[in-house]
Amino acid sequence: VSDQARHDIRLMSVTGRQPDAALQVLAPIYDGAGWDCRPTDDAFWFRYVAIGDEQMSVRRLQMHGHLRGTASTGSDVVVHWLERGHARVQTARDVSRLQPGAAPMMLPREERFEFEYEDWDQRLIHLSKALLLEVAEEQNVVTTSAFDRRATPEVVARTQWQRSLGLAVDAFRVHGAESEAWADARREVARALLVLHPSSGERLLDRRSARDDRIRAALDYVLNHAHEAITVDDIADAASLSVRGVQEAFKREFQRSPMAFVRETRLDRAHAELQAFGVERGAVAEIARRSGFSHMGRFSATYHERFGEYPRDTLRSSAP
Amino acid sequence: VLRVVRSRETRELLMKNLSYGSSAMLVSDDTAAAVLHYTAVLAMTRSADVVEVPTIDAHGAVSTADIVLGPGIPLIATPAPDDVLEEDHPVFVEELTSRVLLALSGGSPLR
Repeated sequence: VSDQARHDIRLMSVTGRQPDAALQVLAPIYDGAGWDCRPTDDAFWFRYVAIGDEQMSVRRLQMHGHLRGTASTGSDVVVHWLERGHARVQTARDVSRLQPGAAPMMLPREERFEFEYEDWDQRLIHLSKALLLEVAEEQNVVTTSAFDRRATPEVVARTQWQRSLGLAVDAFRVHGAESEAWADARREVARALLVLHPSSGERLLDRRSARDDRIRAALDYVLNHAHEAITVDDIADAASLSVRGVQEAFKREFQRSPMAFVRETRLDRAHAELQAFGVERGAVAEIARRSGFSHMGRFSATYHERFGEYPRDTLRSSAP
Repeated sequence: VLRVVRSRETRELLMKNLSYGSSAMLVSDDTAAAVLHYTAVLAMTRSADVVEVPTIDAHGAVSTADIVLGPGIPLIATPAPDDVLEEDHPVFVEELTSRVLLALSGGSPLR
């Protein structure tokens, strides 16, 4: 089905009690192929609601049932998260498992992916590439300067993201799809996404300054090597900056020292892994090691300081 | 003759707090042993050297400490609790072993 079906919405609301009806409605929207939809008990139902336009739309998909197949998001950037249920999204390269409470994630872009959902309540935010590009170009590199030092970047970014979405939905309902308020609100959501997932903008942007390039190189290096025993010297080498240059750049862009940034990256990774659905008990040590830690006692203490709970508690609360 | 490398079988399953001046570093058992033995050799040969010691930082990540070893610089290793993530540092131990051999053969450890 055409881009028309995918984009030309103002308000859409569909409900049904038959798996066939769900396939008929949903498969065209997500370019679905090989879909299998079946009841999990004798009370199958689904509901799909969407508001917005071709630039941005806010959608909710609920189903009491099981759905699997392959899909693609076309050129849209789609961010999704679960309020309820379980989900798995898989590409040739990686698998993501979603669970309620976990951070919003991006669906794979410009490639088909395989998915499996069961008895779930999912939010999906579709943003056009054009909108993201436009907003990303206004921004100065990575927009993490909005972060509050005291809170974890994720928490601040997620709060900002949720808030921008709430305002956008209000703007759409009150002022309509043609309004300035909606146009502004869309841009705020795009901005919030660039904070939440800096790479969403980086991949789209081509135009950048030499200084930005070096900071990106430093950031890339940290994100790719955080699990190794890296030093500020390594980051400086990777970014063709002096050690002092790296320290100043991190202070300016992220309000923290390079090594504090590395540590938080490691902790956040460990946290995300421990939260992932289906992690086995006793996996804490392996996850800590994989994330770049070499001492369990000190890792646990630092983890507790950042997240207010011990690694084993995170694992326990996410165990199936 | 001092043996820097202890065999794995006799190695105690402990980490060490290596005290140097007013600071203490958490290091693996083999690292502590190598540093102490090398320091003893430097005392015997009346020389000094700077070594980059692999340590565990306050947050549990691998870090390094550059320290000066030589006569008159007190160094104390005390037991620290074992940790499941503890790792040996064979490359560091090997490096110190070669410096020990160099010092004992009359060469200068300081390049």
